[in-house]
Amino acid sequence: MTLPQHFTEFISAFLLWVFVLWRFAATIRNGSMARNHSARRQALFMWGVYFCIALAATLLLISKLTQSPIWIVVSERSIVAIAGYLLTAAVCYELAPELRAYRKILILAGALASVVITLTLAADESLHTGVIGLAIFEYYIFLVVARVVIPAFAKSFEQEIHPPMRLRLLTMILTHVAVVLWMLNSITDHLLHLIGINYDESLLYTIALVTAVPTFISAYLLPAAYFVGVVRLWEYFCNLMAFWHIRSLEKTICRLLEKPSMTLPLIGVLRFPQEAVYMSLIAIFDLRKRIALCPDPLAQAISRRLEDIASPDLSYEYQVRSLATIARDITWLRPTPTPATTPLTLENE
Amino acid sequence: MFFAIHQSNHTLALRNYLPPQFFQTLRSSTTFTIDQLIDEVARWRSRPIVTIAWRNLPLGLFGARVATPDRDYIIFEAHTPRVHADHTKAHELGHIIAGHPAIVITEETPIDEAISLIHKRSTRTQTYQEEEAEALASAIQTYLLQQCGWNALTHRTATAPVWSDLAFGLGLDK
Repeated sequence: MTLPQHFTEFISAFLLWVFVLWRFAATIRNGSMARNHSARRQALFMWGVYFCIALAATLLLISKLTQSPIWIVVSERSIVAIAGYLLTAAVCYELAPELRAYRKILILAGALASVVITLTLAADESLHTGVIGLAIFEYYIFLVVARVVIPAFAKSFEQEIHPPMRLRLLTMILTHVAVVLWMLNSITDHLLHLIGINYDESLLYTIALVTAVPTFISAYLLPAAYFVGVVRLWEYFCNLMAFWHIRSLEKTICRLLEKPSMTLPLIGVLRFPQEAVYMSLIAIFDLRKRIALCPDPLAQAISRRLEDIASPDLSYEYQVRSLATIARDITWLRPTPTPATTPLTLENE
Repeated sequence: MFFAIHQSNHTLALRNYLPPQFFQTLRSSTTFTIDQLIDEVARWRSRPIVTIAWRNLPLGLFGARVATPDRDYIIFEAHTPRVHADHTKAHELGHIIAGHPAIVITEETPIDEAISLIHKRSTRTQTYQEEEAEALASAIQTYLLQQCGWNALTHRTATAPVWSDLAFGLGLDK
């Protein structure tokens, strides 16, 4: 059994349309439209971007089914891409209003680029001179992404306080950095091709593709719960690592004071590492005054370090990090054992 | 400490010390921190509880409790992390809730003299009372954590709790 012709393109276009419709329903359902003007504009523009992506996939399918000339395929794709990026830029203006100064220039340049691309590609079906049009398209996309999209998302990233949203914005930035890399590589490729030089650009294209595809899918297609889950998983392992270090510090202190350390069940620690960190921190500070009395040089060094971070003005997170650092430094704080030496006597002289 | 990872019987022990009416009064509150719980216990007992941050308590001592004829004092070490200070306050509150006898002073007694009295008494170990207060401190913190989230414990910024759930968790929903 063989798959029908252009089956992959058909499935891709179908899935993208399903996603566009689902996205539109989600935009209506989550109340973005009713929240405020900015939220409404962002939701509509973002939906427009998805619409452009699905439209590009459909045009590609139609072109292949009707066996259209390649210049039509390329110019159609380029124009839809320009429209998609103009809508992305519109979303970015909502995130960083100061970038709006370039809006008219960007729209005019986009329209001009679309015409030039179509003309240059139409003039030369073999795409020899059409590479100029392609280079113009790529340079335009490069400018939009580098001057508007990345700065806007970077600004949002700086202002955002919620870790899942920060991670999502970082993933979006990575997608667009990959696009910049792709475009720069492509421009270089086309310009060098014009003057008759060929170079192997496949590695850079691969890097850009490997970065762009997973980051695009996760940043734009997956629900927010995915990022919440990733952040929770990350925090879980961070807490487990912090507990590992702090627990070793607590055990060292208890050994120095010759008292048993707090017992914690392993299952409980694995289930609630954050609580385990909290308990260990309190247990350590409960012993702070006693460790100060211990004459051992290691105990004195630990005591000094604990004294430095015992202030109520320091944040809990800072204190946890500092305790983990002290635990890691214990190896360095531990005095070097004096090598055993044989007393010098007349017999062994 | 017996947090959620220990889940011992001590975490439900508050039901033996506080009546359901106590938590009904808390339902009108929108936040729940250790300090607010201290205020609520004071209101319920009709006896003020004053918290005093004191720098350089004697060696080995992070918190203490004294009483005058008409009020209780919780003294805690000022130079210690906030979470540790809150734990100390919860521990001393545990002593008050459990009705452990406190050193009685007069309003005229200087604080450092009161602290010196406490220090002398603390050398005579009262293991059972300390364990009971520690269990109550853990119970308070466990449900503070479960109802109000981590920020209530680590940053003293509690989100609005569901008091009925808190009462249920504490076994006070009857």
